[in-house]
This record gives sequence, structure tokens and C-alpha cells, in this order.
Amino acid sequence: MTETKRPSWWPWLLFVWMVVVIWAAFYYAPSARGFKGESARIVFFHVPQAWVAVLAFCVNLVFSIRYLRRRDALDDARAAAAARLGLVFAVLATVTGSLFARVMWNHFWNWDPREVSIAILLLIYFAYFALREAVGDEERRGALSASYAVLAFVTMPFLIFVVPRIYWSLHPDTIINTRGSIDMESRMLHVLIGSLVGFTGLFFWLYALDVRLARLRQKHQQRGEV
Amino acid sequence: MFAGKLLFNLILLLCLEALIVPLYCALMGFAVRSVAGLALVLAFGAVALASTATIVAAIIARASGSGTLFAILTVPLALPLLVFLIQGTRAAAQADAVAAVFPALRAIVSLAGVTLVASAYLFPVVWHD
Repeated sequence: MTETKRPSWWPWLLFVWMVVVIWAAFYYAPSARGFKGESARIVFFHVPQAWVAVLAFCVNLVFSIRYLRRRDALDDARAAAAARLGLVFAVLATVTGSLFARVMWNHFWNWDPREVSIAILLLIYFAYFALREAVGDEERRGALSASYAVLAFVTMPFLIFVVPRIYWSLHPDTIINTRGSIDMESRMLHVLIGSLVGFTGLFFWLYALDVRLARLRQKHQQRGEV
Repeated sequence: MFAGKLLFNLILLLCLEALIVPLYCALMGFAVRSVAGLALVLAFGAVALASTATIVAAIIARASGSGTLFAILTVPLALPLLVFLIQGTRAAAQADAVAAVFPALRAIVSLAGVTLVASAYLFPVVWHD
């Protein structure tokens, strides 16, 4: 995961890609059966947001472990940047999920196992930032928050995969269902894959910006300007 | 160092459970049909909770933080365990066979295992930092 400076056309390509994805989500993909109105179209945004949140927490874990091994302050900054973006995308996934729940089941929040799981996941990563804020010393903050990140990550599979499968859930089948197959019309699948690529690109672009900012801050600190 | 602290927390939790659970059942009229099932759920739940509490307490001690921070850090990590414990307790109250608690018990044992291993590896990093 290197933060090499990307060419300036990269954000523009991403912008065009996302515009096409949004257009395709509403005009190219057909309506889904068994859902109220056009509510199922939220899948093209909700699923990629949830995927990016998980990806971000994976990146957070990788750099947390790397920090514990190498004690490089930049690894701590990378881990924090990934967790910050993971939290943003997890909040977005919660909001889009709630909007879907309002249309389908008349309530924004139904205490469904998946809703409870994501709420706990949000609490865990809010706690991660509470810990970071509570520790003044930079090196100690890095070590403690990296340790907490590892603990948080080992809990995550239970929230994402186990809790929703132990309890009965209102949530529609996941994209790759329990039978290991994908029951989705091909045009919908094209849009979903396009959206997954777009959101992943968006994540890495925002992540690279955040890390560049941390690197600049670090340089200024070393020069004694801040 | 970690084993000692974990053992202390574990013994404390088990003693509290031995005292509180029968008292709760007697006072609240809560009937448990599978006592062995509930005992298994409580025992493995205590291991999972003790290992989480031990490592988070170590983090708090090094962060020179307060009790509030302990609650903020521990509660979200303990919530998935709580979900499985509630399911296990419900199964033990509703069915005679020990096997009824096995679905929840599998999740509790897995969670206890990963938390224990992660805590054991992380403790030296946190404590000697």
C-alpha cells in the first residue's frame, strides 16, 4: 500500500466512473422483483459502502500490525486514516440501510441482527478514536491504538458473519448467499461490480489524500514549524 | 504476567457467577431446564469476558485513563459476546438437552479462543511499551 503520487487525471477518471455508475444504477439496471417501488436500487450504493468499510478496517489491521513491528509513525497515521474512512463508509452503509428499512418495513430501525451488528461495529471504531484522543504521547498512542485495532478486528467476523446467521433477519439475502451462489440479474450485477470498483477507487483516493496530509504534517513537525 | 491477571479476573468472574446466578434464579423464579448447558455457557463466557477485560484494562493502565474509558473500550468488544450469551441462556432455559446450547456455545468458544490468543500476544506489547 504505497502512497505514490498519482497522475492528476486519476480523480477525474474516478469522477466520470462514479457518474456513469449513478446513471446506470437508475437507468441501466432493471427493477428488482419482491421489493417496494424502486427501493432495491439502493443495493448499488449500500453494498459497496459496506464492502469499503470492511476493506478499510482490513487496511487498518495491516498497518496496525506493521506499526507494532516497525514503530513507524507513518504506519500509525495510515492505520488511523483507514479507520477514519472505514467509519465514514460504515455510517453511510447504516444510513442507506435505514432508508431501505423505512421503505420496506416502515421503520428506520428494526433492531434487526444486521442493524445491531453494524451499530456495535460503529461503537468499536468510535472507541478506537476515543482511545487515540485519550493518549497524549505519540508513540504510546500508536502502540495502544494498534493493539486495540487488532482486538477490534478479531471481533469483526463474529459481527458480520455469525450474529446475522444465528438470529432470524429481515435483511435480504447477501449478494453471495448461503448457498454460495449469486442470484442477481446480469445487468444489475454489472452495475454492482462497477459500483464496487468505483467505491474502492474512491476509498483509495481519499486514503491517499489523508496519508499525504499526515506525511506533510509529520514533515512540518520535524522542521519545528507546527 | 498476563496469565496471572487473566486467572485473577477469571476466578473473580466465576465466583460472582456462582453467587449471582443461583440467587437470580431463586429470587426471579427463572427456571433453567439444562443446568449443564447453562454452566458451559457461563464458563466459556467468563473466559471470553476475562480475556477481553484483562487486555483492555492493560491498555487503560498504560493510557493512564479513567474508568469511563474502560467502559467505552470494553462494552463494544463485549457486546457480540453478550448476544451469544443471551442466546445460549435462552436455549438452556427452554430445552432439557445440553445440545440445545451448542449453536451459541460454538460461537462463544470461538470468540473466547480468538480473544484469548489475541490478548496473550498483545499483552507484552501493551504492558512493556
